[in-house]
Amino acid sequence: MRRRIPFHSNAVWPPPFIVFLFVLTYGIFYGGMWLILYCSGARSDLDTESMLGTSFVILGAVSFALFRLTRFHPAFHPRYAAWLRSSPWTWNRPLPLGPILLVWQDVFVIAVLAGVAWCVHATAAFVPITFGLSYLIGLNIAMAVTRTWLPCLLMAFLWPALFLTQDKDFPTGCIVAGLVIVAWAGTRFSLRTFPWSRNELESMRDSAPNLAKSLASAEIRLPGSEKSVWAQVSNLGWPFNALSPKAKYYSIPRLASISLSLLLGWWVYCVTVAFESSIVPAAILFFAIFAAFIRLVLYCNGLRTPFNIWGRLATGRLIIPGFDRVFVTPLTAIGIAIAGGVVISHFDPSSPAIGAGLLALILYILLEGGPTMREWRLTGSHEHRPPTLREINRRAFRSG
Amino acid sequence: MIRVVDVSHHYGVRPVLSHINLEIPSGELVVLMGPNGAGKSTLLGIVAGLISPAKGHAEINGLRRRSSQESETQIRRQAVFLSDQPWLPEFKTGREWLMAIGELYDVEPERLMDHITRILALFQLTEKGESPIRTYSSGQKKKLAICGALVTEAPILILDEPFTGGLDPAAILSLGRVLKRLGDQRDKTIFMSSQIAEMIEPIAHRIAILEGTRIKAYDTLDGLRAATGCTGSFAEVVEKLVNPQTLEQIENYFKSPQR
Repeated sequence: MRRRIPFHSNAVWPPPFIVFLFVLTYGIFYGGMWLILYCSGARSDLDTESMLGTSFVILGAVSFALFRLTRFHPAFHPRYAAWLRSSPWTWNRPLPLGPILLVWQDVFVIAVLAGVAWCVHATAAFVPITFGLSYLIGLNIAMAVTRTWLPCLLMAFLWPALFLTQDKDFPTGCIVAGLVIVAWAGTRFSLRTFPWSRNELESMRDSAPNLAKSLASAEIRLPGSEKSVWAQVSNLGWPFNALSPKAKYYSIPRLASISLSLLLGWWVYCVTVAFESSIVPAAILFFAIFAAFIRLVLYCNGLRTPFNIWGRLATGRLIIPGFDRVFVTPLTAIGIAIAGGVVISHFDPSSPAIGAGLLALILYILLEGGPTMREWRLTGSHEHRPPTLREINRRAFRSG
Repeated sequence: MIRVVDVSHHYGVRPVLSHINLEIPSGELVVLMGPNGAGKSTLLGIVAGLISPAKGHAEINGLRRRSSQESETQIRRQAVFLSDQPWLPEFKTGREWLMAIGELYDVEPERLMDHITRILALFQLTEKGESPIRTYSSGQKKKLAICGALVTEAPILILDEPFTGGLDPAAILSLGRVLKRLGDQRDKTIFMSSQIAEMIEPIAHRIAILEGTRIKAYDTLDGLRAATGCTGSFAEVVEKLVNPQTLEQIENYFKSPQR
């Protein structure tokens, strides 16, 4: 009887050329070290040698994790995703190039790397740990790319908990198990929602042009694609961009604002507790000023006040409500940072929970405070500024 | 219809526009004229939605600019603005860019492609239309920007100095005739600025003269002739309205200095 070969028998193994390159580099390092010591007659510096050798193995484990994700996950492989979209593939069938989730063949590669580490450095535990962490982080990023928000956020909340349980094996094990389960379920769920929304790629391209341009461009070439020429020409020039009837503006849903703020607070709390430090008021104020500045830059990019400070003084219109409302939220955030700093200084300067909570509150105010970007851009009393020569050159390069 | 209601604006402490009131009925082509620095581009920018005036407001088809997100979006779908110094994405071809602009205004794709082919031919850009915009001369870029405004098929066109910017004589004539035909359509409203009296005379339904921050005159060509009492060419009427001291200043300029 013909035995059934497990699907994707060894497709997950790294290509021979990469393996050869790794072995060669590793061999050259140790060969070179041996040659230096042999010729000079010097004693081997075991600590340095071991550290550098370990770095090689760690690099190997991280590279393998990256290879596993970028090679097989459609979220990191736009042409593959584009092809998959046009194929009859469905989520409950194996992926044609190979599985995203780990299979027994992966254990073989990790075991080989761990074996090398054990033989040369007498320790092997760091290999699966490094691989596992890199792989899980990669899956977490893939969930963000595919907008599988719930498991993505769950993982993001679980990560800093590792700081809190660093010396306790059982809780750490539980958290790692939680991460693995959420990653597994989240990845399956994200594949279930494939094909991922086209708009997501477009919005990514707007916010991070270089990263997402390739993702989107791979799809444009698909026959029958509904992607418009307008979407391809993201920058329409002056003044068409400024007055576009279909202009897109950053908008963060309230749930996302709450999640991001809580996430920031939780990370800060965990790290502060883990390192037994405290959140000083100056750090909170610095964060508030920095984040407020970023918000102002995003809001006022390409805009200017209808008349300058001398105009305000001359006309006695010191405040232009339609324009100055853009300052209200940033100033509120800074005000809360100052007031919070005073409270922390007077009452409990060592409590990380208060500091983390304050940071979360400031971020929430900055993300959620009005006016919304759309409201501001469409109804604010401002003047659209034509691009300067420098901006024109920069955009020309970008749009190319 | 375009309405400008009691608009005043100043840059710093320098006033540019004072209590401007203007009404442009639907289906008319109105040209804004005036000396350099009179505030023509500022007024057009306010109507186009690029500039928020210090006082007053502009209305397009009964919708007040920037009064709400919905009305502003609705206005943007109806009106297109051509800047006197447009900037176009350099690495896209002219045709790609025109397609993108047309899609932005929801022009039906097949009609859009046909329109683009015809308009590129009109402005002698058929071959150039397939090349990246960075290879265009400044005049060709201006032509393409005009094409961009026209392919939107927007019922309201706001054009800042469309005849300038390196256009060749053929393009100026073509544009003049296109604007004349569009101006004669009842569903098109055109508000534009220009300094070229000869081009304006055959196309404008009304002319607004802006001088010293205010509207000095706003009437039909015949109305302006009657108001100035000038029976000569339109250029003379404009001269009389915009700079009545021109002849005297020319004489002064050529007067021999006393030794």
